[in-house]
Amino acid sequence: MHKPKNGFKGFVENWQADLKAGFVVSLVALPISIALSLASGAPAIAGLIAAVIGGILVAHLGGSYVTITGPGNGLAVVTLAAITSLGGGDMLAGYYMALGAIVVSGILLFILGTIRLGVLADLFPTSAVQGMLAAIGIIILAKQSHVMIGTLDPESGSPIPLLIEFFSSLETLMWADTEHLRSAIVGIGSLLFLIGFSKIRVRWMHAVPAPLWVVVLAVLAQVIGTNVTGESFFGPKYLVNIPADWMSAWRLPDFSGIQSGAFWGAAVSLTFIASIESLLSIKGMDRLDPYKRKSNVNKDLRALGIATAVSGLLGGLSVVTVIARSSVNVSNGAKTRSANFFHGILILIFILFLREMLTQIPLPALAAILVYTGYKLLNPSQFSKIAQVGLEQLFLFFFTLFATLLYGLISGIVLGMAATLIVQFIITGATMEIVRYFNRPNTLLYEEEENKYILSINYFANFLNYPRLKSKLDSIPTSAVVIADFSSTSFVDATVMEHLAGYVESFEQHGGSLDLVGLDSMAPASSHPLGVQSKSTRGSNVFQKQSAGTRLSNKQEKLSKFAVLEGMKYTAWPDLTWDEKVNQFDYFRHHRIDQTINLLEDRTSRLIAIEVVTHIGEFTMLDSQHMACVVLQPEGISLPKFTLDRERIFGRISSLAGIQDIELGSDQFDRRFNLKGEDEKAIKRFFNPECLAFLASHPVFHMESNGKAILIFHKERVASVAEFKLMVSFARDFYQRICAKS
Amino acid sequence: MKLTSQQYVRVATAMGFSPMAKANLAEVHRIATHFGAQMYVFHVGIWTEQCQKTYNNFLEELKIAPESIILKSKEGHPKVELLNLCNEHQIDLLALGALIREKIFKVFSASIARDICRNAKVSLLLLTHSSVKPQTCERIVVNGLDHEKTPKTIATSVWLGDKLGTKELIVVDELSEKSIARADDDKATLQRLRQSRQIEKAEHNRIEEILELCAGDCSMEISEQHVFGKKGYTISHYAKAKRADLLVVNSPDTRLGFLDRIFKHDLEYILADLPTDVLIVHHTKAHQHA
Repeated sequence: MHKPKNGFKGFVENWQADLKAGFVVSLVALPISIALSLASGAPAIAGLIAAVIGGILVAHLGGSYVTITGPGNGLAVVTLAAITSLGGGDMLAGYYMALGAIVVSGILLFILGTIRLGVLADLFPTSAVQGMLAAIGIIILAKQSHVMIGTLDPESGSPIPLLIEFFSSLETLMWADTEHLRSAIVGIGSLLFLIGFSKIRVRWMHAVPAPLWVVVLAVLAQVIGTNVTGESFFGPKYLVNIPADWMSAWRLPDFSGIQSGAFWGAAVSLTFIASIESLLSIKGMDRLDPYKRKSNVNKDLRALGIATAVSGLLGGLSVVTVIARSSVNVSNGAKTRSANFFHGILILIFILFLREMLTQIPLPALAAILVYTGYKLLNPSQFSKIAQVGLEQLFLFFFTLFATLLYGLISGIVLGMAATLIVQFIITGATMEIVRYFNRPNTLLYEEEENKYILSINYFANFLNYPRLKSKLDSIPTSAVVIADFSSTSFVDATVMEHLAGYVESFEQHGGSLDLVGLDSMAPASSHPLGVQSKSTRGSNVFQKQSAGTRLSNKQEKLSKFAVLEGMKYTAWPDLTWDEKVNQFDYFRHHRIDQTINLLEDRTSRLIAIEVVTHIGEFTMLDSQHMACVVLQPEGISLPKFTLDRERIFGRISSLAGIQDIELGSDQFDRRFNLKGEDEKAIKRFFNPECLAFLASHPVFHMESNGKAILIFHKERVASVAEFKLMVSFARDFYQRICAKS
Repeated sequence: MKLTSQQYVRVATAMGFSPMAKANLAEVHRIATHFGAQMYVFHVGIWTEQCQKTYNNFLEELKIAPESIILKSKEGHPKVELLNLCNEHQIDLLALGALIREKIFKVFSASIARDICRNAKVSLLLLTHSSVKPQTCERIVVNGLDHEKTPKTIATSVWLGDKLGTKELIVVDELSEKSIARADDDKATLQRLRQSRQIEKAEHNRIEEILELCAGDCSMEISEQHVFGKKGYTISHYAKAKRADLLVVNSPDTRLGFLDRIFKHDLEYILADLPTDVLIVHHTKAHQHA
């Protein structure tokens, strides 16, 4: 697919597509930006300024492609908290002080981007982040549900009492005046419309986004109502307020609180939530980008920082990347950053020319949009999905959710992280290991062959050391073949599994592959592919059969499918008798078998392929090695004892020392292989020309024959599914060759 | 000019009566025999009759002639006396049985073996996989850092591999990730790849020069691997992942102190979690006999 060009060329090439997308987005962004100003406790114009500045500046300075920037949901909650706490009751004074905090937070964001802390958002456990976002949804919903039914200033400030108070607000409707009742009807009607909108089958209605419909219908109600009744349908207190002289009313943000803790608390919270919300959105959009471009998150953070500071100076809210508007952007055919630019410019035009119209929007309709947004953030349908990953994840989700509701956003996510860590201590029993190794390097990446990488992970992989794993994964071109080896990892947590799933997808999209190996011998904590995977590190046989009967890993699924195709029998956790079958070879004298997994068995049992976990030496149980091998038991032919390899592995077996090297006379073969054995004649008979030609045309497999059976393996490490398949087909062909000739 | 390796003519081991003592004795004796070196056994503490009896039993079981070993015993602080003994007898190589991983509570009290390797002025061989049965050293991993000590370290590992019958020697060149672009987006990833290829090419030439000087006529298969990552940790992880039998590294430039253990770097990563047997090649003219 042709990727759109960057810069001015890209603009010239794609401006039509981007203008169309930007127009649709601006229609969505207009009501939402006003609504979010309302939710932030700021003047209606503040959110619009953020959208305009965000669109214009980030489109030029940003590092992502199809994202839309403007006021954000999470930020509304933090901004409201900042305005109330800084103003001490006076909302307007609080607003100007909060603007100061916004400017400072813009500078902080810029610094974060400069020192490349874009990795920050990946540091938080998935369930905790989901819990925090859900809590933001509840906070918005709790406050706005009151406004939606016409109670403009509910008594409580904190979310849980607000939710309870909703019923008393409903009660007040009983003796409310007509205006109050009208607003409740418009608010509830708007909410019902938003809920039912996706079920409306009339196609032309979907040409305009739902929030815009709500606003247009509510404005119509106001205009028509006013004309019919002859008096104002809704009083000014129920309407959006954008003063005609909003431009001249501008004044500098109030930096007088800069020495107080509350000011800096607000600035840090704004920065923190802005970076998390933006980074999560950017990451989400990278997956949605039709051209699969990779965003430069640090560059984007710097751009958002500049935009936030400018927006704050002009009286606007913080600028963040927002996922909902961005996905509208993509689904309307946006190609480059210009779409964001157009969206900003169009909103500016709306403010300049449609101000009169905008002041006719009733607040309850906007509150309905916010209630709906809050509900979407809470997204109750995600509960069962989280529970599938693991019940402990559901617990962490709700723990963070309630912690956030009770103690605020920052404390909530910190408590969520702590809880995640404690749950991991309990589930994996690796407390000491986590404490000792979380700040040490644990990844190794090297290029085994051209464009083929091995990524090995040591100790454990969880959210704490994920940034290290991420930086290695990011440095590999996505068109490469990568084997991520977890065989010396004691556990992998759900957060890392989820991130890895994203990488597997991304590598596949770009023509590469990312194979996760070494996870099979870990027992999953749930049946979900993203669940915590852990294995005991203490003893070699402790985890022998604990995983039996549980779910198959991704690789095991593939192997079992392969087995069906090949007409073989697959056993994920074979019993101990299979150990002996493998153990007969000299190779395993130095590689003691701890466990066997993934057995593929031919119908005749003449050919078995199996993966073995071994350890080397005495008193050493920590150092285990995974490898896949094939055991062939040829029938009806005389099999000499021999070893065949590339002059490496079998020399280790001291009992074979003194056995001579055998040259078969074929130059090509002798150069590539090292053949050793006692009975030279029998061996020369065994390796006939057809057999030699076959071996010469295949990659080097190591072989050991003990006179009864042949052991074949490729590499002394975990095999990927592809390597496993290659080995089995090699063994099968080889078997046919040696049986055919006798 | 041909690079000479560090020569090992006097090999010593410390005798403790741990479960691994016998295996260590067997292993060090094998190494000394391969090198054609004189073997010393040092013991710090009171050499009782019981000790003598156990020691004799070991030698008998291992079929080692007692006269081939020089046994020295001294009383005092284990660490200090062991180092004194090494100096007195002009030892070139001290082989010690070591714990694979330091235990968390020992980080501050420090096991003797680890303490010694922080202060030693001799080359140190830390044995993790000692075994009574003979096992050959098939694969050696040696560091290829751009450092003045590296040529000699590589030469030593080539010499060692020759003596031990090693089949494969891998020179691992650890490169700093700071020298190449960060993979922020697609363009940067490509740039990073290009830069790393250039650096690898230059590094390849440098290592090739060293190898020409010291490994002209050896039968081992010698390969190079360039790895970007944290110095010290990367080679340790690589040796573990590649199942190397021996890891050969330069000695530290400075004496490692208490702070180095907390803020780990370079050699400390290897010592904290020994991937396999480790040889720390010490470069001292004073101890050179050849």
